[in-house]
Amino acid sequence: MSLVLTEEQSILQQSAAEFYSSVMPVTAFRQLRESEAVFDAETWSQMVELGWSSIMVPEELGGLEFGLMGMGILAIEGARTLAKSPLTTSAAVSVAALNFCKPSEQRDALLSALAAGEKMAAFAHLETTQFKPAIIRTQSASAADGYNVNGSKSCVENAQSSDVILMTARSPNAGFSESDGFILLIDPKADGIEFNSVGLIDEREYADISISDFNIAKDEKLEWNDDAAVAQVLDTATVIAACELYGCSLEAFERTLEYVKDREQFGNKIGSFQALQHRLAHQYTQLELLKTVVYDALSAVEKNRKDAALAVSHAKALANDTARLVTTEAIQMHGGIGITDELDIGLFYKRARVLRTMWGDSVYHRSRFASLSGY
Amino acid sequence: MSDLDAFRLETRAWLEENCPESQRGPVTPDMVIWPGKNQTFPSDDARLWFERMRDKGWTCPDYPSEYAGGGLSRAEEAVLREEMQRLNCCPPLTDQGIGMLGPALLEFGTEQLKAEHIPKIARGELRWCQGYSEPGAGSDLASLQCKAEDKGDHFLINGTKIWTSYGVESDWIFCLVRTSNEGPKQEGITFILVDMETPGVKAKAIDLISGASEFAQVFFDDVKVPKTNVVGEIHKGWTVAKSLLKHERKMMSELSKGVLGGTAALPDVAKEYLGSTDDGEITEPLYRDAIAQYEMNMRAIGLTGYRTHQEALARKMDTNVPLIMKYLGTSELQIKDELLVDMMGLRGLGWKDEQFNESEQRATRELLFNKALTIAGGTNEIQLNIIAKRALGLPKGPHS
Repeated sequence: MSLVLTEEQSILQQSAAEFYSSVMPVTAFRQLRESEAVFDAETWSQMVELGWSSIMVPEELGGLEFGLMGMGILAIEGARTLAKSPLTTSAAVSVAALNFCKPSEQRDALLSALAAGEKMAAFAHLETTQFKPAIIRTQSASAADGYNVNGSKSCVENAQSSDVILMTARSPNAGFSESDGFILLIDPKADGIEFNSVGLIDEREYADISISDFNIAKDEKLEWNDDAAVAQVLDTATVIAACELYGCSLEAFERTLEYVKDREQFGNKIGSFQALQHRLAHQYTQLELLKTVVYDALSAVEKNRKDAALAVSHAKALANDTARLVTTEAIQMHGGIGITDELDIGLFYKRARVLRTMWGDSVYHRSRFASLSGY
Repeated sequence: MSDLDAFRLETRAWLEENCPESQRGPVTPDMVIWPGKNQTFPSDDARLWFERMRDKGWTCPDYPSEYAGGGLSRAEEAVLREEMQRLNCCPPLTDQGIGMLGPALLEFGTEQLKAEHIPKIARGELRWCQGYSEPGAGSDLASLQCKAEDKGDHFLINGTKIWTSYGVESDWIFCLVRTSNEGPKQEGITFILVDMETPGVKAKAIDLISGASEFAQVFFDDVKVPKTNVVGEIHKGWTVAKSLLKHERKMMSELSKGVLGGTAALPDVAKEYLGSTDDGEITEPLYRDAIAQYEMNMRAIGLTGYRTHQEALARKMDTNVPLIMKYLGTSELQIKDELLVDMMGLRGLGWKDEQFNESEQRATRELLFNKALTIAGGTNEIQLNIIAKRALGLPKGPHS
């Protein structure tokens, strides 16, 4: 169990912090918002050059095989500037999904293309607006030369801007709450697929997908490694969301700390008031716990530890609760300016608010933690 | 194999060979082994276990071996602790001398004081207590008034100390006394060791809401104490006290891990009193959620302790993190106490009659006694003040 970053991981963290604050500060997020662009292609190609798209890809397929811990570090640092890029959806979650598939020509080629930044992928699994990961109604039936796909997916991030969608599905004879083991490679630009964009408060690209009478070739269906694969991909997505929540919370906290040391009322710095000091000190304790638990969950999933699912549910529940505490307190302590669009604090709240719901809220993860613990 | 791995194997084998079955946990309060001039043991096995550990210096494994300690390195001590946890060994000796006074003496004591007192601590020959708080000096400890007058070769002490744990049972007391009223209140305080058999020292037990009387008030009436008993410099006792308080807080945050027994596990109690489904799931979803929240927080606290330990070994320690442990650990323990009693219903609230079983009685007593944990060793409000100042660098307020 490693709760301290290695030398290499520390170096990655420093260069990520420098990159995000200089190349992708919050002003870059605001510019993208103005232009209604999803990503900036130029910054993404810089990230690819830094090797970030290949961090989780195996070495033999052109990747760095640096591990989930490295990706987690990037997710934390990226969240501190609300960076918008395909990093988490493509280089983390989609790569994880492919890593948990059996090797095939298609899969290996796609992993290499993702590592090289030649393609971007999105992972489409959930089908309900509440978090019910076990439900899969999307079906793929055998057809001439391949499969015929029908179904829908809810609120998929970066689906339209990707080159390929990795879609979970079941065969017609499986019950609707079980996967019988595959993902489909879907071309988002083909006929028979329809997107309805879902504009959420964090102003990222989300869309509901419906797909009907859609034909794919035989080799565009990939088999999972084993029955645990779907859960492992979901755990990867969940722990990455926990990392982003930690990054958002830490940034909002540090900005608030700076603000209360500067803002004066009643002739004193407001940070000298005990009513605020105790609340900030409590938040600090929660952020330190969260850092530990997030590192532990990253390491648990990376090393495929037996308690990985438990560690991930722990990380997400604590990340949700800490983000709720810290980002709402950040607004409160900034006072009136905290609820303006001009100040960044509210943007951190909005991003965190979405992430808290994505991949399971605290009640869901505490219940899962309890089940995994035998109660 | 590294030296540390070899040490681990040796230690494991030795513990398996030498720790009697009866001295393996879960450790209950009646198994605790205390030191003292008239030391008694809970059982013959307890005596054997104590003597074997004492002879290896492992009652105080991190003390230098010249003072009857184990002379272990930080890493070796961690291995010993892990291996003892693996077997759930009862601590071979429990005392405030070990975790608090000993380290302070090693840091600040004269050669004479070290040679006289540290081996006795390690060998369990004396039982120690702490004289810090006074009726008028609680959170504002530095305003203490217990007076020590300079009489040439000795001090004459007059005044009183309160909230002294095990004050009635102890042989010696380490005290903060006022030796000067000049300058800031933190200056003019002296740290001194007092034999409680000295004429004029009297300890009186304090009855608590839990029905226990672990704490005492200690009275000093013209007590003569040689100057050679001063630890650190005269008037500079605050420095010693602050260093010692760190050890005290660490000890208290460890209490919350149930080192001293502790109450039943929440999931077990929930299943027994509230019921469970065929899959073993607690039937009351709100209690199940509250229990998961508590268990998560304890797991997070435990892992954070482990993280600081790893950081220390890698020489990357964030020295602010240990500040949070006492605040978090004691708060969580009180959450557990309240949850336990909630789930037991009226059976968790028994006071007098015999009809309540042992775990119910313990839940009630701990609920009441553990209210002390967020007060003693610096209240949680004081802990938050310290975090705000040291870790966050927040400006001094009008009242702090």
